[in-house]
Amino acid sequence: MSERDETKVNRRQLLLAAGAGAAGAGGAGAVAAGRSAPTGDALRPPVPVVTLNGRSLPYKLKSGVKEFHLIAEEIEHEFAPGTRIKAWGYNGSTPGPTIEAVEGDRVRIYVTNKLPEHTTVHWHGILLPNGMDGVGGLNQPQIKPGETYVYEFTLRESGTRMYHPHADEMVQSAMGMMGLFVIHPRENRHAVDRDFAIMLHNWAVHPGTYRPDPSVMTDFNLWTFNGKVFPAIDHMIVRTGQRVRIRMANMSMHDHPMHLHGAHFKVVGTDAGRIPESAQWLMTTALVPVGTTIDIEFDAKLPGDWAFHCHKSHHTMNAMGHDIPNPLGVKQRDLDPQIAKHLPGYFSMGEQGMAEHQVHTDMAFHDTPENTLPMAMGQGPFGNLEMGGMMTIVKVRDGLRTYEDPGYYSAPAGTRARRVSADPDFKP
Amino acid sequence: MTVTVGGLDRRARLSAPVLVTLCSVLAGCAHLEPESFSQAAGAVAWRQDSAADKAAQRRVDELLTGELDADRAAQVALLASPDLQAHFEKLGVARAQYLEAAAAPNPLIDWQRRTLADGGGARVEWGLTQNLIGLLTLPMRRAAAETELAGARSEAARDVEHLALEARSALWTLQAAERIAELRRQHAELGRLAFEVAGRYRDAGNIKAFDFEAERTLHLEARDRFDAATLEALEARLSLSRLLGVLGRDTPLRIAGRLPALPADDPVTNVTEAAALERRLDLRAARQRAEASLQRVGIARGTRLVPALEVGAAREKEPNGERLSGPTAALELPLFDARTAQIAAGDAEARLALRELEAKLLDVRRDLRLATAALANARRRAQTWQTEVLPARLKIVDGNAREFFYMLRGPFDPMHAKQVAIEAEIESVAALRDYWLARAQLARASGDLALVRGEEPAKGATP
Ligand SMILES: [Cu+2]
Repeated sequence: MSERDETKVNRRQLLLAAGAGAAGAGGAGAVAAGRSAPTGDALRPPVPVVTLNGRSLPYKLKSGVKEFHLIAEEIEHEFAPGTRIKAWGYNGSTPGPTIEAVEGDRVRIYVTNKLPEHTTVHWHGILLPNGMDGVGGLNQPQIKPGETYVYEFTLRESGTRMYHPHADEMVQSAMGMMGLFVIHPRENRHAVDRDFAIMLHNWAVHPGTYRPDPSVMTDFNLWTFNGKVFPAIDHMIVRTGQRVRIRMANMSMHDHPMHLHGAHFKVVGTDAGRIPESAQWLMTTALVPVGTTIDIEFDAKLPGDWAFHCHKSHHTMNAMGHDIPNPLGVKQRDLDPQIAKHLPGYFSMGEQGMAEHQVHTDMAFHDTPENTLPMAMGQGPFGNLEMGGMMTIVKVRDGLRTYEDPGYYSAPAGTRARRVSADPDFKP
Repeated sequence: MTVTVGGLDRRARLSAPVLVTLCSVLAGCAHLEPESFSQAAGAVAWRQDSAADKAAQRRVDELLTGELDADRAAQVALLASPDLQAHFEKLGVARAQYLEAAAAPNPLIDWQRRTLADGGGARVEWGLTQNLIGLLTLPMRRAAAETELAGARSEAARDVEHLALEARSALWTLQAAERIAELRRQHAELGRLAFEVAGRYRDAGNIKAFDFEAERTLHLEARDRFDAATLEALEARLSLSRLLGVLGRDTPLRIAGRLPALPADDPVTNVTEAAALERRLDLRAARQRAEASLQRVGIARGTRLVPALEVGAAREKEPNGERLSGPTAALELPLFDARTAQIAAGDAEARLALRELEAKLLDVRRDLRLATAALANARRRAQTWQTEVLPARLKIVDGNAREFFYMLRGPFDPMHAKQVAIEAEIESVAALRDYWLARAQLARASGDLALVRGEEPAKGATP
């Protein structure tokens, strides 16, 4: 998957702002010369953040102040081809574009409200003057429809933060109002080669409807990375040997144990900044609690296609009925032809398990329901992936020259699991 | 035109529309001409001998080889119904009464023979007497009887019309009942299948006992309704066969599978009250009966003070052989009975007939208003169920089936949704049936049979 042009623009801006030269770490284009550990005083500038399926927000530099403009508005949003909703977001997307700045920057952020109701923006995790904290009614009057407010403050720390409304928050969160706020350190002592950012969210879009239902509290049916579900989520392309950071921010109503295959990582930061080395340890699953950001870092040592997903298995599925009679182990297929006389195409599923479901939906055995996605999707080189929701792939490859999708991994001879028998009574 | 009781005088009678051809035909000979009713109700025959029976039988056989639609059902009924033949026989009785009333009084012959006590001979008397008044009032009595007979003829024509309408209605009722029974069968089959599927879920240990019992009750309820619909269809079939007079034939009636479709518009007909009052045969019959009563009481009143006069001739043979002859006359003296009671009875009879006619007029007005409303109502209902509810129900079935396919719903949802859609189709069939029955109702109320003739059979798939 390729990153977007905006990121390139932003990277240039970022490098300029950081006072660094044009050469540097990998962005969207060519792969950089490789990770080089900080040597002496010559710290490398930070690489721009890659917001999967997203972009960073451009800014104007005015008398040393970085000026951003967020527009809160209703938008058309697509979770994956074929499923669209009316959502609320910023500058045409949900999540809104990532705001990237550097520790010590003075930022001025205009917020124009084009929503039908009032809103505010809270700068989650950023230490700032109380009047800039954005809690409607507490720190400021709400921004009425049509009004523009301006926030201005100096970024005193680095790390992964968020922005989101603090006005009618239940509705506005459910509708998609959120974005990442990444503050790069002025001194890049923990440089990485790849810096990915993912906003975790959940949605209640009842099948056949076109607007999220804000009254749903727990029974969400779409689980997204940056508003997308697998397999519509960008893959993370990495060259073997690179150091990788993944920033995760959770604006959903559920915690997500995020699990990475093929590498051991450390949780290196929260929405309050860098965690000291002494408090870091190796792990493969990091819980990202509700209303938290978590940064993980690892060295991509093993080439391959490595899954990265929430470990709650219902969160790697798309919409499905959660109160249907359980079909597992129910012998009923012999009745299908009789029922099909009354309901053309009737086909009972789930007797042996739900894996067959993707076969049927992929082959379109039946007309599909309106505006929803099959619960399991995705094709791999060896068959159906049978997932949806919070899942993507970290593609680690030797000798990458670009971050274009390298395709699926081809395992060297003798390094892939293989069938040795089709006899159920096989004994090794 | 407003017909009132007061309008029943001679002028009104003269200007009244010509009676159905039946009148003149029946006055001449005892056969109803088929053409008499072909416009109103289809071919009809008064079968008075075995040749006529056979001819009718052949025609009925022909009609029954094809699928019966409403028009054919009416034709069969008019040919085969014994009830109609019975009505015609009543008309024969009425005609006999007319012949009796219209005849001149018979002359009276008397003969006496009286013997002398000593055996010396006998006196023999002959006499011939004729009631003169009876002879003089003959034209008036004949006119009254003719009016009476015209009433009877109108009643017969009404019976023909009603039979034709009833046959059509019975056919439509049967078409609907059989279609509904078929839909109930599908509904019950889905209920049984849902119950069987529930059994499989229960066997696998995946649904609760009382959820399973819920499917059982739904299944049994559906089966019960199917049973009831089956009996209704049988009843409708037997009623039609009985009405048509073909019950007992070896081969069951073959009927067109579907009701005629709802036409875009109702036929343009004159169903105003004035037209109905003119057209309705039962009203015409009542009017004619009332006229006859008035005519009869008129005769009684006109001859009230005319003494009954009998004239004649007598011959007499005396015992001594002498023969005498000469005219005779007898005069009734209206001293005690001036036919007051007879006139009072006649008056009462005429008033009764007029009151009955008045009551009948109310019936006509009510029937017409009700039938007009019933037709509009049935059309709206048929449209609602057919063009709005049923398509919506089918969309619900489709939505449920699609979501079942995505495992967003269990198997019972689409099955139950389909059952509800079938219920909507049943309502749709019932409303369409009611529409056609309302057409017949309006035809009967207005006397305009154009409302029910020659409907196009329904197009489209048969069930
Ligand atoms: Cu999760």
